[in-house]
Amino acid sequence: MQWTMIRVPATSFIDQAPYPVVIVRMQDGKNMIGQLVDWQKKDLVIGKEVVSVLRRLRTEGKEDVIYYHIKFKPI
Amino acid sequence: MKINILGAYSTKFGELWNISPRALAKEAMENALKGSKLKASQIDALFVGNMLSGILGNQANLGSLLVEELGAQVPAFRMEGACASGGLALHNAINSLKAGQYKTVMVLGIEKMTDHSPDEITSALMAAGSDEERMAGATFPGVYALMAQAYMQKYNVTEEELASVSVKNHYHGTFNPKAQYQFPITVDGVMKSAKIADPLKLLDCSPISDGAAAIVITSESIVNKAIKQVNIVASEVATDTLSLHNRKSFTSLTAVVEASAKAYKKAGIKASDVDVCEIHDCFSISEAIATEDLGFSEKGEGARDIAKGKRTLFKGDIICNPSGGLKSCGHPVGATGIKQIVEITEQLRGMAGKRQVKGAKVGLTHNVGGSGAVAVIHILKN
Repeated sequence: MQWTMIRVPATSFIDQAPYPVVIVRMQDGKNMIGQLVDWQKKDLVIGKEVVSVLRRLRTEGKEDVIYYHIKFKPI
Repeated sequence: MKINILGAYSTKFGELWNISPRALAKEAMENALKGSKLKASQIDALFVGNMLSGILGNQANLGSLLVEELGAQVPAFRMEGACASGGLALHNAINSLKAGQYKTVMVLGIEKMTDHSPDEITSALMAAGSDEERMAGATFPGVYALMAQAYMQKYNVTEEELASVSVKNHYHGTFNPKAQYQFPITVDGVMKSAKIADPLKLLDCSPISDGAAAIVITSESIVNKAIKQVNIVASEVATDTLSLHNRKSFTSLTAVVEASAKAYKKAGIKASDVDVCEIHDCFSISEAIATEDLGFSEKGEGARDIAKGKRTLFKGDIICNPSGGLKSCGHPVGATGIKQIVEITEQLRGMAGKRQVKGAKVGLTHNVGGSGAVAVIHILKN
């Protein structure tokens, strides 16, 4: 797991900053990028193990659909 | 066939709220024409590099719009590759000369992006990344910050060593009357600046800027005996995955390694032959990694070599970013690739004033799109 803390967000994430974004090596060897959730400061170390979770991305989408997406949380 | 640079001009870069896109384009192209000693009617086509006119200005069809400012109703094209738009416009312009369809063309890089809030601009710039990166809430500083974390850990490089990139570029910027920022900064100042995406701080990041740059290139042997002739001897492009997380490495840009290898071969030179170069330092980490990918520094030593002064005007061996780079000169996205050519042209002509690298014979420009999805390398010789 590689991490950074986003402090100046894009418009659709403006009410969530600051939040960590991580690149994670999955069990099948592929990498994914995602928001880190349910984290504490001590979790922000390179190589920290995480698990993928399905979380809400945005409350208001076009035509009021709620977007969900894969995020990661520390084990 | 030799590709000759005739005129080369850059506007001032900065927050140019009172200058419209049309006026900016006109200033750049008029002055590039003046420098070429040509009339607009002698230009066969216009190539424009720009990233955000559609996203921020709702203006597409940019070739058609801006050719009106050239003063000659000729074929006009816009090329886009995020921050490499300028370099790609030049690459395609050169190919049009090589194909023989056009003989003399104008290449314009232009961007207007300062009239927007930070979150608007952050969102717009993420158009250069992937949908996965956008949905992860990543930002451009965030993506490069992930590279910086990996690089610092792998090679034991400190934030202070990375900060020396910004310090060097601001020092160079003090000699550039066109630069957005013409004041020096210190490592301490960088360390104290606000965090944008850990570990990158405000002064590790290039600014948001307006600006334009234009050059006239020709395959004809028009020789202006008053100025040293400068030719483009290599123009190479390479691509890599759009997303950072799909790359083989987070501490090297394969697209840069590939494009520069092709360019060195074409130009018949090796990395150490380069006297002066303009590097795409969108962030401090970018220049550190670039100097390694281009073969100037050993892997892991890029930041440290910069901290030691090896890339600094008047004391280094291969001088990087005499213009002040993206950090100090500014980064109007589509204009940067062409500004880099303008700077190297002035260097090789011996007309760079206080920024002159003495006796420069071989120059290189390094223009990158997104987080490394596309790299454009040009090599110039006098």
